[in-house]
Formats: sequence, C-alpha cells, structure tokens
Amino acid sequence: MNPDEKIIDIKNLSFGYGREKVLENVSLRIEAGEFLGIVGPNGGGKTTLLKIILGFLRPESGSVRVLGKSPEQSVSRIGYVPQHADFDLEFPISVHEVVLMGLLGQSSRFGRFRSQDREKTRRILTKVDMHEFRHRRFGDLSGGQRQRALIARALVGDPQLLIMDEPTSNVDSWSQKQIFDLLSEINKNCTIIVVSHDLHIVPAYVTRVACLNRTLVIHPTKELTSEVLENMYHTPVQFVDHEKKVLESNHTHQTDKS
Amino acid sequence: MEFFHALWTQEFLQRAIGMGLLASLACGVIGSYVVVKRIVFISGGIAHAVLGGMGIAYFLGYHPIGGAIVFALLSALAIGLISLRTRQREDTIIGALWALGMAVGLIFISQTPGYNTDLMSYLFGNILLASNQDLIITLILDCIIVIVVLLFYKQFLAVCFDEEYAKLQGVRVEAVYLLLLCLIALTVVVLIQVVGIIMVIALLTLPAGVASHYTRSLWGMMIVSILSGAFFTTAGMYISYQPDLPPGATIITLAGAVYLLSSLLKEWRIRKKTPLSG
Repeated sequence: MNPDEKIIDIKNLSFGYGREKVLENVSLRIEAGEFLGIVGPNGGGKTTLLKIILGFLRPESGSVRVLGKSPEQSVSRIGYVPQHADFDLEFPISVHEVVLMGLLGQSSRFGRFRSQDREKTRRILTKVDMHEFRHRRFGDLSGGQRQRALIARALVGDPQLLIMDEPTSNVDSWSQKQIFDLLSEINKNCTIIVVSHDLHIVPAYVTRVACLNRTLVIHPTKELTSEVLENMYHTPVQFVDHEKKVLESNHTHQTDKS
Repeated sequence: MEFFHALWTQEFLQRAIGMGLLASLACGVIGSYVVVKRIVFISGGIAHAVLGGMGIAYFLGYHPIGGAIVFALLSALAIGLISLRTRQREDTIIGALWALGMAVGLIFISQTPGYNTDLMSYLFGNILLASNQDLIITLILDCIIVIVVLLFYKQFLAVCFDEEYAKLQGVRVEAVYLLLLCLIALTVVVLIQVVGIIMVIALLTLPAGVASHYTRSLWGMMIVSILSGAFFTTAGMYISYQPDLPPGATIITLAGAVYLLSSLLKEWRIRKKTPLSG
C-alpha cells in the first residue's frame, strides 16, 4: 500500500435496498492508526456501510477504496468481527477451530491446517487471554469470552484493518471494558472501526466518532459529549435537538427532512 | 444364536452386514453435516426426488442405482442453485421436487412391464437383497465421500458454521455448499439401499443426533455417529432376524428409540445442572 493511501476512502457513497435509501452521500476517510467509532440508531445504515467496506454489497453510486484497492481485493487484509448474536450456539466447534478459520484464506487449500497455522492460533489466543479455553465448545463460552474468540479470529491473519460490529452487545459491562482495553492495545499497530450503540464506552476509547443515520457526520471525540450522542441516537425528536447542538458547535451537517 | 450361525453360513447376511457398515460410514460423516447445518429437509427432498431417477432407469432397463445417482446429484444441484440464486422460497421448492420426483418415479415404474415388487424395496429398502455389485458401488461412493471430506474439511466446517466469514476468507461458499449437497446426494443413494427412500432421513439424522449429545467437535461427532450407525444397522438386523421383521424398519425403530432416550437423558442432565428458576 502506498504510504499516503488512506485505510479507507469513501466518496459520495449511496446505497438502498429497493427504493429505500439506507446510505446517502456518505464520505469517509480513515488514516492508518485511527480508532473510529460509528454510532447511530438501528436501521441507520451502520451494518450496511460495513458490508460495503467488506465487499459483500456494492455501492449504488460513489467510490469505495479500502487499503488503496477495491473492497474485494482488500478483503483478505481485513479482520472482521460480526455481531455474535447470529451464531448457532449448538454448533460443535471449539474455540481453537473458530480462530483457525481466520487463516483459511492463507492456509493450504486441501486437507488440514498447517502446523504454523496452529502455532499462530495458539499465540493469538494467548494474546486475547483465551488460551485456557481453547478446547471449549464455542457455544459454551460466556458472551465476553465469545467476543474475545472472535477478535482472535479476526486478528490471527495479521490484518491492517479491524472492523467490529457491535462488539459489546450481549456482553456484561465488566467484559465491555476489558474488550475495549484490548482494542486499545490492538490499536497500537492496527486501524480499528467499531460500530456500536454503546454510547457510554465508545467516546472514551476512540479517536473519532462518526454519527450515521443515512447521512454521516464526523465528530472529533474531544468535542463530543455523550449527551450529544445520546440525543442523536434515541428518538427523532431528540435527533432534531442534536442537529441544533451540532450546528451550534459549528459542524457542517446535512440532514434529511424526513 | 441362530443369527450368528446364519451369519457364518449365509452369504446374503454377510453382504447385508457389510452393506450396513459401509452405509454407517457415509451416514456418520455426511449426517453430521446435515444435522449441524440444519438441512434435514433438503436431504429429505433429495431422497424422495431420487425415486424419479430410479423409476426412469428401471423403465429403460438400467441398474436403478445408476439412475438414483444421476437423479440425486441433479436434484441436489437444482435445490442448491434455486435456493442460492433465486428469490423463491426454499422450502416450497424442496417440497415441490420432493413430490415431483416421486410422481415421475411412480409413473415410470407403473409403465414398466413385468413384476413390480421392486417398488417396495426402493421405498422401504431391502438390505437382505444386497448384491456384490451393490456392495462395490457403495464402497466406491463411500471412498468418494470420505476423500472429498478429507480434502475440504476446513472449508465445509467454515461454510457450515459461518458462511459470511468463509466468504471473507476467499472460500467459494456457493461451490462448497453445492459440493456438500452432492455428497448428501451420494449418501442418500447409499442409504436408500439399506432403509429405502422413505426412511433415509432417519438414518441421516439419528446417528448424528445421538452423537451430538456426546461430542464437542465436528470430527468427534462424525466418529461417534459412524459407530452408532454401525451399531444400529447391525443390531437392527440381529433383532429382526429371528421374528422375520423388515430389517430397515427395525434398524430405524432401534435408532429412533436410542435417540429419544439419549435426548431425554441429555435434557435431564442439563436440568440437573441448572435448576429451572421461576
């Protein structure tokens, strides 16, 4: 990657399911080493934006460059932690096997994983403090432990960008803090994007916050109080309130009238 | 004791036992995927659609197993592609192919001149009629299944557990899924010879279901379900021999009873561990 390439460079992105616009005219540039939080209400387009960055969905208009290339070309250098509510907890798979899945793209095509893959998996499990649980069934873990295992899976392939979708849902508050502490540590050599509706914890850790509700507005965290965020997040009435505050603090902010 | 004496002297019984053991291998490995991926209904659809192929082959004078293999693969690919590529409801398609295959099969069989007892053995299986040729075909199908699973074990596991992440890792998820459906199709063909079309689903799910109660990994589940499948087929034939019961039905009844007991036991153990509150 070119040194002055952005980790992510999105220009005037729009996307809709059918006629409904989910994302409108979104622009976002992320520099190496950033820790970006994306917040916004359900249905505001957070997961859709992630899926476009990961190349699962194609934008209707606008351009998306990830690590200087198209999303499809870069996907192998991205670590992704999906919302873990989606997993089948009855599935017979161990923590070790879940993490190995993060090396599928790099390992041999046929047969078993290589011994260096297993070694790498052991190292990363130690890093996220999950080594003692490596033989446990994934579905038998607590919410916080499961999240750690998924972070390990995302990191095991040495990604340049880590993307997390709601890392703290289904996780108790003690584990939430632990997970964000771990992310801060990881952030030393990896750019991170976290999508979350957890407004209390996100601003304390991230370098910038993007508010996404069809359109996207970036706030440096130091100018952002959790009150502003909560106002934006909860209801449309308060969303108008948020708009006012943002305008007061001199943010340019284009919002739809609906 | 008569059973063991017969086993010693009667070649048909030796072949039947061999067939049961070969079938256990396929149903243990592939049944585990069917259970963890929750595609029992698809497997049922493939199994029943196969009667169409067997009927056509029978009508044209070919070995019905050849027709079964072709039709099983075709219906697996059809179900897979339609559910992946179109917006049709998957369960409706499966239901349609399920019944359509049977209808086509019945029409062709009815138009075939001569004696129609074979229909019953397609539907309900007749392991005691297994020929050496059947055994060899089954052995070949087993080899194909085991080799493909050994080659693509990690891709299959990833696609079954987390399709999205597998895709992210560059796995061709659609191709792997279709390959898995083809293996299910071959397994269905193997199992039809043991318990017949109607009861294939039972042998595909019950050993794997029992195994899932006692294992924590997929390969462990496969091994335990191969062993329990071998037990069900062998013990089922033993039980059915003296009173002259239909072996397929006896095997399934035994497997069903063990599965039920095992489920109750598992439920009881879970409740003992975490008493219901409130």
